Amino acid sequence: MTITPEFRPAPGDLEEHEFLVNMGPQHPSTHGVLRVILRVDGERLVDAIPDIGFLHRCFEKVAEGWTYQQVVPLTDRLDYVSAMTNELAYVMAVEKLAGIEVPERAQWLRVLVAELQRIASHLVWFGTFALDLGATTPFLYAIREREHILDLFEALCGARLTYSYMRIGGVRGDLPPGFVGKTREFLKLMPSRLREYENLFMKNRIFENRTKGIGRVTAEEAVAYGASGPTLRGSGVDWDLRRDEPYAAYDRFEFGVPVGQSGDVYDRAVCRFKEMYESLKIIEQVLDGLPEGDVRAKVPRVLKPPAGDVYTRVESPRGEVGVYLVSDGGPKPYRVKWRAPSFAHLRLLPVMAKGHMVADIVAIIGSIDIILGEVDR
Amino acid sequence: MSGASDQRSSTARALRDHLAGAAPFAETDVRPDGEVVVRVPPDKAVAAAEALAGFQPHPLNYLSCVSGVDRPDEDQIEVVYTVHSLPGPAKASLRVRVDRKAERPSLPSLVQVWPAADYHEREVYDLLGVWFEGHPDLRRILLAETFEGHPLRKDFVQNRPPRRRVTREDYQP
Repeated sequence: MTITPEFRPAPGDLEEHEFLVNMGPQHPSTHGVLRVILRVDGERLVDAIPDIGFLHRCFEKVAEGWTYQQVVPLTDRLDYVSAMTNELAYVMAVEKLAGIEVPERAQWLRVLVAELQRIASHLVWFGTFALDLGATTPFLYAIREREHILDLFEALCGARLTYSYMRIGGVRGDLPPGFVGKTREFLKLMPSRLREYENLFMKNRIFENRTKGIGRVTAEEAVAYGASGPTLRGSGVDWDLRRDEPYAAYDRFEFGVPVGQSGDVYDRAVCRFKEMYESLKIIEQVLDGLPEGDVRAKVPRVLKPPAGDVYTRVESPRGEVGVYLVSDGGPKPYRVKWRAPSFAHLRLLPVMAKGHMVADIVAIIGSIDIILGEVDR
Repeated sequence: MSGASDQRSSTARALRDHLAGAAPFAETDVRPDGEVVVRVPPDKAVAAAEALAGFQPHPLNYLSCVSGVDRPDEDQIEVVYTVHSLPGPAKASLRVRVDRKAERPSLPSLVQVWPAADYHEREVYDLLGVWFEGHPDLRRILLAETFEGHPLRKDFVQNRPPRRRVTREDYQP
């Protein structure tokens, strides 16, 4: 087998005036180690071919050798910007397979941390997206606000990035003293800050010019290629798993689902940004109505779910995180398959990029908010 | 909540009836959560996928996930296409099995029915060694092109070929 060193595969049908440009895997705006082979005609993109796998850590193979409980910390390391929702997807799959009932309070706490995580993740997206487009200041602001959430999580479980807070049958522990008060302070502070960002950046003329009409995806394409989350809603498809297929305690809360129209970078960005307001609403409702009770069901130390398979999905900040879990009745999962939203969105990258300028690819990659940890697994 | 689950089970029953007409060769089974399990032989996979995608009023148009499961005890690899309707409550999983001992275990690609299958099928090919006939661009996706073997097969660790140093010659045309 022979491979050309720079570009695999080297397209045989390269036109005379076209050439290939290599972008990444070491590039500040590929959010990790994404390599994109750009086929350009002058400044115009003819094609963009993603090349992935640089961060492959054999998650699915490793998980087959560990017990069900031991896999939870591994899932943190997939989408490391939104570890809580990953854990949630995995423990929900095990619970469904083993038929474990989760206490009501634990379900509410899961919603609480998942929504805090969503805000933290969207803040990282907001900062880095602005950075990609050349605005340095929003990144510093966004990271400052994210710090509040990381402090809360640190008080909750001791970790700031890879939490392992979800347990099979519930959560690790109850809220520490002072958590509710600090969260309420954050809720009070955040709306004004979000409005500030909106005025500073989202309504900025330069931002609008860079993003409107760029990387357009129709609703049909988005569904056909398996887009989910804000990438799907930006194209005008009104679909949110939290509302349409409620899991944990999401059916108890009132919240809106922002939907875009044209499916361009701007609409995706606005959808993501508005989601933060909705998450704040959910957090407030959780704090107001948090029921008393246990936070963890009794689960045997050596967990052996009955043989079978199950697919569960949750709405992560990036979209649909799905877990296909197969058990053979033993103490270890027979197969764990991770469905990562970013993986599906990368397939859309060539569709989005075609015909735009080279500089726009940076905005397009930023708008789908990819995390290479979950793409490569 | 009960209304939603009623709708799920009635949709599942309707889907099962639809498949009995549109894909009579398929072996179907309804799970308590409303998932319709569809088992078909490899040569009927495309017809079954088209029958699923043509279900009304909730076409199963959204391919969530393609998972390969190696089952050495049965000498088979099972490929599971998890599909949902979007929007709508219908969900199904299309299961196709292939002989894992074949030199080149192959299944028909379903990219024509669900374009999202593109990367997912490449991943199954990469990690489990199932060839998808008719796939537009079947290459390894997560591992390097020089990698030998398919690591998600259960016997990969025992049967792993001896490690070979990748040399400059590997990368010369």
